[in-house]
Amino acid sequence: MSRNPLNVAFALLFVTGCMADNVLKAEPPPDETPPVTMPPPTTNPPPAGDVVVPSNNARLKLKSGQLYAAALASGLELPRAEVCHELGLYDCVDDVHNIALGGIEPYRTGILEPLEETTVTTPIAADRVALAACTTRAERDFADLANAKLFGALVVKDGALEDVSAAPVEATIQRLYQRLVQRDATSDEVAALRDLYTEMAATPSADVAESWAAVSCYAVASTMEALFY
Amino acid sequence: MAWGATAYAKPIAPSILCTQYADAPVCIGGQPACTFCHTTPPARNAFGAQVEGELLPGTARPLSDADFMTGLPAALAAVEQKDADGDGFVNLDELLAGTYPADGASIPAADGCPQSSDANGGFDVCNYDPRYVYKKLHLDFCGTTVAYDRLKAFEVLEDKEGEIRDALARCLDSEYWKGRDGILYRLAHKKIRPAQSIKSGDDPGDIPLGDYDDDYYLFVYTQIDDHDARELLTAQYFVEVQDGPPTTYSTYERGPFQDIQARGAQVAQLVEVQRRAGMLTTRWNLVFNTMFTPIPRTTAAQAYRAYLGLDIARMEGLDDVPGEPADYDQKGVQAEACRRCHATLDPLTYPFTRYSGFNGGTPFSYVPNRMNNMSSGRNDPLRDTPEAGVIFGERVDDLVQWANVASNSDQFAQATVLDYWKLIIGEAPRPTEQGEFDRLWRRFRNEHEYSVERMLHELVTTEAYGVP
Repeated sequence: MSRNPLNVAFALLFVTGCMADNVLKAEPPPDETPPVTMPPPTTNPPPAGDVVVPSNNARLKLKSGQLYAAALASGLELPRAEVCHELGLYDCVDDVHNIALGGIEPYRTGILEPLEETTVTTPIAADRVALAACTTRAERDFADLANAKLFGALVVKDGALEDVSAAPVEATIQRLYQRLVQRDATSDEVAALRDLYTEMAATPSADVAESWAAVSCYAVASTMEALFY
Repeated sequence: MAWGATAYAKPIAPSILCTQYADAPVCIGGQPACTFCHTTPPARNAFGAQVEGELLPGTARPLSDADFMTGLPAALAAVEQKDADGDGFVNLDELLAGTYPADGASIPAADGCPQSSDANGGFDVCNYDPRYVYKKLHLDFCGTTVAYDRLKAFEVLEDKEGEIRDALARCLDSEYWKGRDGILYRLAHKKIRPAQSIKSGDDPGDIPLGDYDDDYYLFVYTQIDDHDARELLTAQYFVEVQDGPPTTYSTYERGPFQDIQARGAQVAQLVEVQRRAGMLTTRWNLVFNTMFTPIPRTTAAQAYRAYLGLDIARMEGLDDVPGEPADYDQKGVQAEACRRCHATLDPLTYPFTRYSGFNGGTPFSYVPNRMNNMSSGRNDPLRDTPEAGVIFGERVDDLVQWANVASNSDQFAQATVLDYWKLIIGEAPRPTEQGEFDRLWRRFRNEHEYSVERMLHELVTTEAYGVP
């Protein structure tokens, strides 16, 4: 089963737009569903009487491409060598985007240490790796849902989720968070991905469930939490 | 440090600052780096510029050391209530809090802790957080992500400390850590500076001259399995590898002729065994750094930088030797602009002069009369170049002694621990972490007996690593 590329592109715009502003700002064409205001992708509020305290030791490291690809491979149960290839030939992390993703090349080009700053293409490359891995996982799972590694709990009919509010959808979202950031999803996060499906399903598509699975995975895999540690 | 319009170093500035603010975290266990007042010396940062503005205004520049010493305390006092970086905290508060007065992003800590870590996404931002460490440790040392279920199981463990210790031990044996092109290789790159185009041995370049694989093997061997890290500079053996997993390293000792017989002339190590000094006398080091140079200052400066953390080009580790630089090779290093660094660098270099690169005797070997061989005649002062030199103010007869002094120095312990600190924590110690860093390198010398692995087991228990 292959997904409609336009559907994925639309979904990506939706997801990235949400991440940037929480609100879809573009004016809709007359006959389309009006924009949906999304809740901010925050964690659940702290218990009453308690407040978030900033860390005095705040220090985050960006995962190298090597670490990031390994995390995606283990989280999505893909062989490391199949996480991402450009043109279907060259490993995205080891070959094509090595330096942009914090790698080195000491022997032939004399790059002995990772660059101190990320490059203009670093976010694009990280997105590329995440999207490729998630797309591969979704394609393989939807080709054989009975033996799926990640999305097998979804009940799919004619390419669409039977009921986005059903428990298997939440269970799938929880699995995504557990696999990719090693924690449970908050209720806000579950709701955000459910709303994403509702929005995507408003545009007719033969394989909206698979597209949603891929971009939901991408949305979690490209969070700050998944990229930094 | 430099303060005038012309670049003149004032290495006394950090000690004056620390005399005035002895309780400042940046002064505990050390002294502030040049970057406390400078961007790239002699250019000053915002704080340095404020101090300069108050430093004996009207007095002609450059200031003498005496004037500088007299004027600096008052200049520092004069800027205490100013806010150099405009972050809302005056310079004095930043100094005493251990933040940087020239960095607007570095501000004194807020008070208070959350009532529970739930409010902070599960992170305990006020204490050592075992769950955070367990997760991070696997990424740093194993290159793997801890699975959700395993993390849950860890959370209910009684002995979290023990599990962290066991996990680190497993990771330190992983291919990600010690295998070919693993993390330890990455740490070695800046020291070895490989260039495949002139590599011999496996995967040779177009002009095969030396094989840096030997250097990587020796480096990794000295960093694993409780080996003594000082042997990086003192080993008279070499190391061979059995690729894994598990990759294993073992030592062997062969003289030059035996090594030629065993491995061939293109890769053999040609310095006789008793003249070897670990990484300093490998064939690759002589090929790449000494090359054709009679007095190989580049080789010595690279050793000083790579193994002792002192970059002479940044005016670090300067320790004038009286009567130096003698300028045996007539390079003009006695000129005013040169002598400041060369009074340290040249005597540091003399013990390297008897080890040949491409010329002066058998290549890549110890040649006692190399200076004679390379001189242009009886009157060439190059012939007078001594083999004895000076490192950290201590006279040494030859490079083997040089390596002994170097490897037993505070600087070696500090540089070794700093390499790992930066690798694992992600940056050099912050002023508030100087105490922890200082304690760690001292324990590396003593309690850890120069075992990198023991040191790392302690590093992951520090607040710098374990408080999110």
